[in-house]
Amino acid sequence: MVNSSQSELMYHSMVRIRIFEENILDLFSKGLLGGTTHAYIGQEANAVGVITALNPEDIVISNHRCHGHYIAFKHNPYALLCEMMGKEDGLCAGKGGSQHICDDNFFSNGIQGGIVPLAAGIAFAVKRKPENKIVTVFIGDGTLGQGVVYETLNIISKWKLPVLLVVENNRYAQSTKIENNLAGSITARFSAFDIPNTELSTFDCTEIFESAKPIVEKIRATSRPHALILNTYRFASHSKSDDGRDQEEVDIWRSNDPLTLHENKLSTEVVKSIRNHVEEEIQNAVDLAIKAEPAVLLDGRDY
Amino acid sequence: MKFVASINKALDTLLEENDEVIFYGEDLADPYGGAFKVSKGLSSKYPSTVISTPISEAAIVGMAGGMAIAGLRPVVEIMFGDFLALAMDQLLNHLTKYPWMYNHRVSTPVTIRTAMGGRRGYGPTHSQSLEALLSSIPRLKILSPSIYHNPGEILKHCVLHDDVKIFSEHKMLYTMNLIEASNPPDGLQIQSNSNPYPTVRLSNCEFEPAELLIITHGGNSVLVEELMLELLLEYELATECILPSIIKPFPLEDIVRSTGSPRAILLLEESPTEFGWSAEVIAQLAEGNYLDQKRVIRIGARNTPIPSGAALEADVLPSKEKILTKIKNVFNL
Repeated sequence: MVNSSQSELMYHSMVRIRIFEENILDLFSKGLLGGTTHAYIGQEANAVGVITALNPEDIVISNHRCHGHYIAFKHNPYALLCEMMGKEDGLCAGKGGSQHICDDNFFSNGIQGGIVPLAAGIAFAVKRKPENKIVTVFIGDGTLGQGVVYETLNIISKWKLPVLLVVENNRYAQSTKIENNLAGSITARFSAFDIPNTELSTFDCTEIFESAKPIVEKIRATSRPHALILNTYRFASHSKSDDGRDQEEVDIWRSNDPLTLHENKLSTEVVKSIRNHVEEEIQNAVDLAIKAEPAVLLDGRDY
Repeated sequence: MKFVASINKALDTLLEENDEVIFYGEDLADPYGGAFKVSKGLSSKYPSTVISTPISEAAIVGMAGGMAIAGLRPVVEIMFGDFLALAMDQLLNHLTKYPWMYNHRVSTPVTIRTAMGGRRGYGPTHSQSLEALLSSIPRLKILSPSIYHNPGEILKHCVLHDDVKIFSEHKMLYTMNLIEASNPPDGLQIQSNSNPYPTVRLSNCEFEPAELLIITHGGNSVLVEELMLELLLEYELATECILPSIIKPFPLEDIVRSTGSPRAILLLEESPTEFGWSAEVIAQLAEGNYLDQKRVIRIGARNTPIPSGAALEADVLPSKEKILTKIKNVFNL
């Protein structure tokens, strides 16, 4: 189902996310970045697998951990980096920073769960038009503590809105383990609202893509929602340096690295060439972003 | 025309003329037609764009942000203003922030209509006036028309222009007749400016400068009429009253020319005065150096929840008698 060029593209996208995030953490440690960040390292297969199944005209909505989704969808690490550095060339001219970005049909915000109504509202609007777009919203297991999510699931189901709800269950709500945080089952939450759902436990990008593709087609054809629960793990801290997890536990999960998994499907030359290409791309983006003009003044009307 | 009919008619026109207008909220479909009957008849006429929702204020306000970003002009009805607290995160952290934090790559033309205010015995959670709480949210506009305005025309302007607006309807006004400037009650003159969100000026003293300037909005317009007539007939106190229809941002320029002569400025609101709307207006006047030696009188609700029992509620909210007592004290009447 996945041909070799698609497979290479997916790997390219995952490597781009990984190297971008590693550079971000490095820039923080050097004091070249302010504010905060939430690294996507370890979860790359989710963003790339799901977003590869979408059309470029679809709408993607993300959360505080949005870099992976953004890069997989819009392929523009320079604009994101400039945004994080408070530069004029940033996606929102430095007003939003890491968690609050917008690029045409991509949106993120830093409040847990608050983006789900945004997704539903956009889905309501696009359903009235002939283009057949769908809206994908990424949330996490921690987000399932928010009431507004359930209010909106009810409406999404009742009003038959074309929304793909992706839950990336990385087993931690910031520092709190899912066992201490979440009652009942994740899939049953969606079933209770009569929203069909699919659960996957894999770090294999191809497998996620192959599951997502027919779901996306079904949502487009029927204009009904579907939930995709992706059991995953983040390899880095929640934010910059707040990791309280057992190293042993992290190491076990790290043996499921989605990039390594995918490398087994590609030739050594292809892997090397893609890595070299991405490393150069990100290094250029970093160099350019450091030199870019800082966004310092709000224009007069924009108090 | 009654206040409620003016709003109903405006919604009818908006839905008729604009494909992008969507009107939704709790229980607004026929035959019920909304808790205050503002939506009566509209869902029958526009079944695909007038929609009753589940009881989910956060979701329905939040969805309006998405609809607006995707090109619609949603009008959300929140049955009681008090319930806006349930949607506060969407107002504060989402709808009002999207255009600005996304550097104007999106706009959010959203109008949230809601019934505010007391005097109906509905008690602590169905009677509040939340303009102080709401007005502290950057970039949120607040409209509060009175019976001296044309609420339907103001609503139309809200819906057809950008930004997030709270359109506050005092629930005592719904059944009242609107008063036109050309047909004022005996003893009063009415002037309105031609702004899209007009400010109305009432006066009981056609030929002499006012000694007292009242600034208020919305439901308190009802108290003011009786009060101004009594001030003229019993105490010969020349009084002007300014009723802005947009109360945030506050249209300071509309009242500045009144502040030259009066000896006192009375600010009247139905929300608690502590850290309130009046405090902001007075601060703006003071910063603009318009106060000179003028006395300032603030009248609002007590800093308590609003009780249900009629006598208790009357004790907590402003009344003509309480206002008169304060005025007489300041003017030694």
